[in-house]
Amino acid sequence: MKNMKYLIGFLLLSTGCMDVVDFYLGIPLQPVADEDGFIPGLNLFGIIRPDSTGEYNNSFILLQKVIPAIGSNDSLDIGTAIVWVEELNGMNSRHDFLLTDHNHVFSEKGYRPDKEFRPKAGDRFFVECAIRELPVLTATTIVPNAPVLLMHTLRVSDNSLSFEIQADTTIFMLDVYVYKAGGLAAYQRLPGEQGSNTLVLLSSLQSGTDSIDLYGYDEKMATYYMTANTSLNFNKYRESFSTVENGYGVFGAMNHARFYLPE
Amino acid sequence: MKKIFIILRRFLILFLLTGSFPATQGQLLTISGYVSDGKTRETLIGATVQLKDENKAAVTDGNGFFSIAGLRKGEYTLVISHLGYHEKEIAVIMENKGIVLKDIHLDPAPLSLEEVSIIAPRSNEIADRAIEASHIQLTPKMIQSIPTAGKDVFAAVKYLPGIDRTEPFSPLYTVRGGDPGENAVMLDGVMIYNPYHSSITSGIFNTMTIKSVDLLVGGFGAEYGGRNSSVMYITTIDGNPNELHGEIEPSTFYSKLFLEFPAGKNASMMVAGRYLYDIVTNFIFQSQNYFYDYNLSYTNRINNRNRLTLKYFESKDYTGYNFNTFYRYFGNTFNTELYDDFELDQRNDWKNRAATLIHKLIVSPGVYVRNQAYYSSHRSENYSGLDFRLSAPEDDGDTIQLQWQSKNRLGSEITDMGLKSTVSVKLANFSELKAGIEYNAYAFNNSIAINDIDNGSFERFPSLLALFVEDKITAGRFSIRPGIRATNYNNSTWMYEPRINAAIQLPGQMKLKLAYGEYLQYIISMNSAEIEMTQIVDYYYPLGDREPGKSVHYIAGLEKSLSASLFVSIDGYYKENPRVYAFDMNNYFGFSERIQQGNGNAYGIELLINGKVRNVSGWISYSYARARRQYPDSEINDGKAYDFDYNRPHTFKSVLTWQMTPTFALNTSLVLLSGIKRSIENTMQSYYYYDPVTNQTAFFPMYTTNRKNGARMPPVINLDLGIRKELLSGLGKDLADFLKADESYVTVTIRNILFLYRNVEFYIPGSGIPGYGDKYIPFGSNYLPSAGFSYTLKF
Repeated sequence: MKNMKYLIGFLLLSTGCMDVVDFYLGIPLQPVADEDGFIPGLNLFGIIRPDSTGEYNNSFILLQKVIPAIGSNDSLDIGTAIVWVEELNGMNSRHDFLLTDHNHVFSEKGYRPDKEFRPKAGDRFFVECAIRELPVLTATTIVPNAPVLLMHTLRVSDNSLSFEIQADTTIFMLDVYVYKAGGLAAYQRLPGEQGSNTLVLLSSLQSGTDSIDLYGYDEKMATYYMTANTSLNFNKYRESFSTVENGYGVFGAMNHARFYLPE
Repeated sequence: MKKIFIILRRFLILFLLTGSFPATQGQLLTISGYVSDGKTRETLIGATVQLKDENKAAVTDGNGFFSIAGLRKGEYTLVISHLGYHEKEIAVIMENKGIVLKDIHLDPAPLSLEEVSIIAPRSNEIADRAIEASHIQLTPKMIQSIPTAGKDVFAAVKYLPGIDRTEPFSPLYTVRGGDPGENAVMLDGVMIYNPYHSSITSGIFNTMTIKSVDLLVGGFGAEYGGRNSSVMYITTIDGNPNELHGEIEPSTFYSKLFLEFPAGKNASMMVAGRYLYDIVTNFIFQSQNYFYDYNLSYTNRINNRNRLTLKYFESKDYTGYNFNTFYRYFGNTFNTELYDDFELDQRNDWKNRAATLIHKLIVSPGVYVRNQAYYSSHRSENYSGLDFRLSAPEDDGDTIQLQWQSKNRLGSEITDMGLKSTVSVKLANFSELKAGIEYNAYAFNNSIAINDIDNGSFERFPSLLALFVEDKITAGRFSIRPGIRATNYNNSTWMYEPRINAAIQLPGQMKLKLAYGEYLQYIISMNSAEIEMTQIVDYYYPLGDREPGKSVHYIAGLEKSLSASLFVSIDGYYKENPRVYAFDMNNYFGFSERIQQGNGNAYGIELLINGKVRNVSGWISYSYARARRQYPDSEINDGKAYDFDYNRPHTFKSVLTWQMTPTFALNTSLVLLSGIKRSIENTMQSYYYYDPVTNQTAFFPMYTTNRKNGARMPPVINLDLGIRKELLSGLGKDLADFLKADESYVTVTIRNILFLYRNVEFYIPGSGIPGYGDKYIPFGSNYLPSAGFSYTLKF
């Protein structure tokens, strides 16, 4: 009985102590929301690209869901969803994307197409992702052209490199990788100019660069990367990242070209 | 435009000729001059000059100049008075023409305990300041009396009604629901861009150099323009032409110096500077954080009609926080390997410069001309970078790649070269005409890189020509000042800003004030608060072909004197903003596409009691305010209206000083504020990073929201205490005597004296933290009381 008193006293005290700590830290002072703004939905990251690894195309889709910021013990992961991509080329061929890594051809599992999926520049695609209890997510994208490096604009010096990428209305963002002897010498991401050639200027380079990889992204991917607010910030207007319908995330496309520098 | 110049020239010639004609029987005359401190020779603002046994008086303006018109030939006695000075009487004989007196020097008088007050002296006469509906004057004494203001103008103004800070750790302020970029800050007539220090989130102006601060928080007259919300006009000291004086506040990391001294016949100089080197953060983060600012002033009182002043100001800030070294101090306490691929870097680097040449000329007793040329520049480069990577094994044997990367850089350069000329004409006691012209040539260079993608930069070289005219007409108890400001931006069409102020002296020591004004703003601020942890500066951006931002003010105020030294006022305002601009950093590419046009409004009511009762002086204020914005054709809040970012419906502020003895004063400041609206996150969503070379992804769960300002923060309570003690004995006094200082004192500041933690700066969702998954975890900066100490020498 005496021990029970001590136990009850301890419980009350510890509960009280925690309350005191909470009170001092301000835990009870919760913000008052005008309304509950959480909207459930799938969160997609999907990219269509023309190249392949072996006999499998490199396109893939990753799916999670969004969860409330507080008050939820749920996970971002979902079970297996139904995902299909339709080519909007008049023939409307539909491809099911299955959750696989194609027997370790790829290092991560994702929703991937079969061997017949062969996208190319100019193709338009529609995606639909469905899982029970969440809205059906849809989106479209267009595969951009492969970026073109205008070789006559290439200027190479001991520690700098400049060149122009041909203007292209299908390319909205570019990744530039410069290599030397198989190793990465420089990287730059820049917006794709719509009405004029894109000037690339890389300085502080070691001499001997031998090749350049250019990756061009469609408008959806460019919007996702160029406008997302990923800053280390609190309670600022950080909009959900979304270029899709009835959900979150991005369904975009890219293309790639490699150029070898003259010796 | 040519026609306007012709009209102005004709008016000027007419008034000049009228002023210089000899008087004939019945013609009215004018007497004018400067009033200054007999010891320091600083011109006195707000000194009363009254004609004995006559119903005529004037109050010295911001230049220390007064003018009384409507006099006939005869003998008069001028009675000049100002709080803290012996009253003086001067006999004058008005003969055939007006008189410009030699400088009138008032001798300082020791204040009795009852007279010591932190409140600026007021006059019951209807004079220039008495007509402004929303005009607050701050003295250095007021600034110093606020315990936690740190003797800083920008910290002090936030204790005034209608003025609030923006976000935590930011020196920016908002006035009556306006953007921080809508506030003009002028130093002796020079527009200063971003007059802030980042290290101590304060202003760049050394209080030791300040003579007065005039805040026009709405309904200001046609003389001022370019900003839609408020004008802060800071007047600095010219220097003592008779003897050396100064003040030193030495410290191990934050030192201040002020000197004023004669520089030739009728000339004086003032030199002041501050330097801070942040030892603590430099030790912890191994970064060089510092700032300095300095003022130089040279004034030549050529004769009693001519004054020439040259002023120069410069400030530099650098703060850099690199958190990579921070974790070394924890040893094995935390899993520091977690931070091997972790970079968190913040750098702010900016510089301000201003130079001006001012010529003041009394053309004739009723005509006063002020000409000014100036240069003002600001350059800033701010960077925040985060790069975090982690491979985490999962239960099923897979490995997830976590990554959070954000690199943002904003750069801004402004150069402003201006010429302006103002003429004040007072030939009849019922009218004071003021007209002016100002020309500004600007150079802007802005650059942005968001998410490490260079969005480019642009240069622009606009110009702005402004003309204004206003006339203050007084008839008995009624005073009205209509005016108009005409502006031409970049040689385009002329635009007009009508303004009108009126004041009516009512029975029972009451005064009614009314104001209406239209305001245009051609240079806006790129709001970066959403992509910077704290927005410390305004990134000024000149509008090109777009119409200027516009605001219309309607103000009504009632003032009453409860006693000779206690006053109460109540102001109501409504501000309509038919055209406002915001930068949407996160939905568009390129500079010009990001500018979104919208509208808004703000309204409120402010009650202020200020003055002195016995040995207690200060002010108490309460205000109720609301403000809304909407950008209909934009992605901002999906085009829907929302509560303005910094709006607080209820604010209570009190600053009181108890002068317990002539050498000991106790200062307190108490603020009770509604919480502001913030965009509290309600969703967790993974953001993906993609490597096209390896065709692999990494992600990081982030908190987002689709509702701007969708939640209100809890109220804010702050009670701080300050003690100021003049040293009469002990080590401090001995040191002062050794250094031949006239005075030495210590100040002690105690923040958060009642252990009130309630000032939440921001929240982080508690999901994932056991026991707090359904709560937001608050973070604040004021949990424990803290104390500060300083020692000052005056000589």
